[in-house]
Amino acid sequence: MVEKTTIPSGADQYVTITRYELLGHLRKKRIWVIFIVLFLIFFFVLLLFPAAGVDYPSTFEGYSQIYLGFMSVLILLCATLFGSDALVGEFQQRTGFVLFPNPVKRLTIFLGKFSASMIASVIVISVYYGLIVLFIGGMYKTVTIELAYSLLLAVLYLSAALGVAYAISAIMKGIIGSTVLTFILFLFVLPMVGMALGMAEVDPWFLVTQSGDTVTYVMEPEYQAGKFCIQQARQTICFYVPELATSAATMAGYFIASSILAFLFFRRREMVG
Amino acid sequence: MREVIKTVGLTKMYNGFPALDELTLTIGPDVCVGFIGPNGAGKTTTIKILTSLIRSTAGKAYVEGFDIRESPKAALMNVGSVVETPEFYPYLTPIETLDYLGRLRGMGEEYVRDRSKRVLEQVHMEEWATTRIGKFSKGMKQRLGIAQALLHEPTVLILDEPTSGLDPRGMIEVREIIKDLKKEKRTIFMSSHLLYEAQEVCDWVAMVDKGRLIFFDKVENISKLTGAKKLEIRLVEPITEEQLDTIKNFEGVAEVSLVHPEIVNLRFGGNDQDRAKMLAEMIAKGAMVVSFQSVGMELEDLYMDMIGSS
Repeated sequence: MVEKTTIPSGADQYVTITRYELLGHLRKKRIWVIFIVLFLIFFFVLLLFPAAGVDYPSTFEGYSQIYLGFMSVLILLCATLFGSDALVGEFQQRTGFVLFPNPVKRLTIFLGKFSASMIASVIVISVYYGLIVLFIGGMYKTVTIELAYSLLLAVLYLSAALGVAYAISAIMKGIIGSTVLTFILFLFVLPMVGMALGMAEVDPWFLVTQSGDTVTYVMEPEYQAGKFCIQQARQTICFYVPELATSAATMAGYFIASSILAFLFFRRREMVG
Repeated sequence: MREVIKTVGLTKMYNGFPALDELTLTIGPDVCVGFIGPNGAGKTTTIKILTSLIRSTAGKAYVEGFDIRESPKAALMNVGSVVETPEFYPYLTPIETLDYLGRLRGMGEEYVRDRSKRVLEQVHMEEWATTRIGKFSKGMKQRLGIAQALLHEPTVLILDEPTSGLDPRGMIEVREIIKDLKKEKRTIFMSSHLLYEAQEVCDWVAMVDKGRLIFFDKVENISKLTGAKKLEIRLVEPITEEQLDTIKNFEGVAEVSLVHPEIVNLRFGGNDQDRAKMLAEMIAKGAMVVSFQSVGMELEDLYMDMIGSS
């Protein structure tokens, strides 16, 4: 007896794809690698001060800033491990031969995958923020609203980083290439470009890694954007604290542009080979 | 006639090389078409276009009247497919995979559960239903590929070498499944490099070479086209000159060859009655015949003729 099925809506298919992609992220070992790194960072910083015989920072904001300095590493890990193989994997691992001949649009697949990567990453960074609230907030008996702003900026930075990771994943032929390129881009290339521009006294406001630093800067009691220079030996090294609005717009711009680029490449890509 | 699968001037170029060269083919309802041809002939390319895995460079492809490029969702709704050796998400179990794919096709929870159980039984994978696919062999994945293609009870099945990767028992089982599906009034379009498989399972044969359709007819018509059948006669004792002359002089006999003193191969254009007559004459001449049978297949002959001359 054949039960009639109707073509499900794109929204229903999106929910199905997101659900199963998320299940995939949760079942893979990589999420545990990220959690291990996360807990190592957290407890390393927590135990560092008593181990070194140094007093803890005097304020909640000050101590939180030390923790948030590692947020870019966590976001980089999330973008690399949850995003860099999401699209290219369908082609290289040939799972697309089963997924793509279904009556589902590539846009729905893209959105479902991206949402699952985003949810998995937000779970990770939320755990980190949760630990800050629990341990550091508990230690200082206070939690400031700036931490919530930092979380929002971290989510925005995460979406930009994932967008870039997806764009690389849509373009690259292999998973390893895509993973390595994403990692190197965020860990070395963009920070080094930012540093070089700083030395040349050019404001690198347009670099997403520069904008991502606001995750930490926002904890300053009095946020002050601008150029700050340090004289070291014979050299002046300048760094720039970006405007919050400019940084948010830059990260949103990266997210939108890279996501569109990723989708266009993904839509055009054929299951050859 | 309802056109279930139709290609019109379908062309696919890869770096200037035509993998498919203006292929025009129309397949009606409730037939099984074997799609054969040498490696690189364009079989998989055609199937990939029909399943929206790649885009054609020119021409059109329709499934159930829907243009696969303009309305892929509608065109693929009633299609079940296995393309190349399928790979699945290793972190899911077959039950989860079928649930995932069933829901993408709009199947309800209960329906997808019942059908999953049924198709896994059909491909003898029920005991692996809750084991993660990462541990599966190529043959098991091929079986699961067939299961997912049957899950939503599609009216059209597009199968790319469905027995590839299976052991002999698995191949026989898959052929039996396809034969059963034929009884259920479905249109089956399957590529195969195994000619006997196409001849055994299918009603029609479409042959491609260098991206072009070079033959498309019913399997039953192939013997009319190929004419002579290959026969092999085995004797207890070496054949005598007189017995050999009897064979050579029999009407409709061509290409007699003695492969062994007790084995004669020949091509014979006669019908079953003529064959019986020849056998009777041989026995009358004192030949002790052990076996007297057709060898090889008409499709094989046709294939060699067509591919050789194309």
